[in-house]
Amino acid sequence: MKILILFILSLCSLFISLNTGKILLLGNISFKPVILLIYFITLYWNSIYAIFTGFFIGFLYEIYLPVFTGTYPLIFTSLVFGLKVIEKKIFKFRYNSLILLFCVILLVGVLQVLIEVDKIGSVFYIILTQLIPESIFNTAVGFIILFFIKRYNR
Amino acid sequence: MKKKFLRIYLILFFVSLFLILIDGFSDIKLGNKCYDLFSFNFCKFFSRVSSGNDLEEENKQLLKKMAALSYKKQMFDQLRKENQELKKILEFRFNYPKFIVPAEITRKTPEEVNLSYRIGKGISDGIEKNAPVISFNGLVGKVLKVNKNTSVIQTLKNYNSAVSIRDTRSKEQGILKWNKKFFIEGMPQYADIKKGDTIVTSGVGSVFPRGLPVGVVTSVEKQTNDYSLDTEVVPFDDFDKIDVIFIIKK
Repeated sequence: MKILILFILSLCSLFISLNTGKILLLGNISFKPVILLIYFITLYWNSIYAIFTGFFIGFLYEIYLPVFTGTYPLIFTSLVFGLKVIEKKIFKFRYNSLILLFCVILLVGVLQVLIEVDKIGSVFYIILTQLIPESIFNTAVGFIILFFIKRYNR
Repeated sequence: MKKKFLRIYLILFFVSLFLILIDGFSDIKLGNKCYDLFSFNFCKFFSRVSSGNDLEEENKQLLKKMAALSYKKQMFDQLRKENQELKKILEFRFNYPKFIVPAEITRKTPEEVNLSYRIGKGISDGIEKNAPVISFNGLVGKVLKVNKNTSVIQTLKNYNSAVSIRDTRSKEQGILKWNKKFFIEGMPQYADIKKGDTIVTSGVGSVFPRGLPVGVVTSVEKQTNDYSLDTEVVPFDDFDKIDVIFIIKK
């Protein structure tokens, strides 16, 4: 049952990310449900599920993108691993732990830009105009999700 | 739990690396293949499969069609232009009181000075020597030489041309000549002639009938060492661009 839920969640997040990303686009900011899903599964559910989900989503994700197959599974599984390593060093049920989510979204965004953008000069411009606002927006969404997680845990 | 997680991570890590290496070294991109196989957008998938190969052929056909249409358009434009010119000639012929002979210029003298035309009409068409020649807009010159089927037209843009003219506003009369520019000879300083005045033939002399439009006065200056006016006239037509002329039969 859990696996089925994970599978549906993965597909939904992927679908939202790939198809409705442009509808939700606010200027240069886009919604990142895939990263949010991986982040919250890793920290608040099960890291093994998270690592498989990351691998699976990463694999499907790059079917649509012109990168080498295996790049996104590598990024997402490493992300889960990294989160798992720092899990015990943070108070994950506190709202200030969302700084980590901000950093994660920014880091993945930078990696994505480095993979997809050829000109390095434009990377800094993208970080300033797109990635930082995008991270703030997705952290705000993460705040809402954390709010519900905290409420559910009570 | 930790060890298990680490083990899984390492396996997946190496699988990913392995996939990257395969994709990097092989010609067939796994991503592209997977996209074709598992694409969520089935419409895209099916349209790609069915019409992908036809696109090139369709593109070629459209290019051919475009070339044909472009040629047709050019032809159409040319015909339209010709039609407009012919209409203008007809209209001109009907409106003009005297009987005129239209003629197409077959040759122009290449030199700037002493511009003359050769036309394919001559004595057989009723053309006589010294017959006045006009265009749609005004006086062009006179017939200099007539052969059986050809004639030579001497335009006003000629050192030898001299046309008796008058100002339509003030009725002042003079002689229009050309010396690198058109000017009115023999205009005294007190003559009432202004910039913008229209000049027509005065009818003095036996060559040009009265009232044929010639041009417009563009500048009038008083000369200090002479008692005449220095005037400049611009004819209504650009003699270098005329294609059709009309010879007025006497």
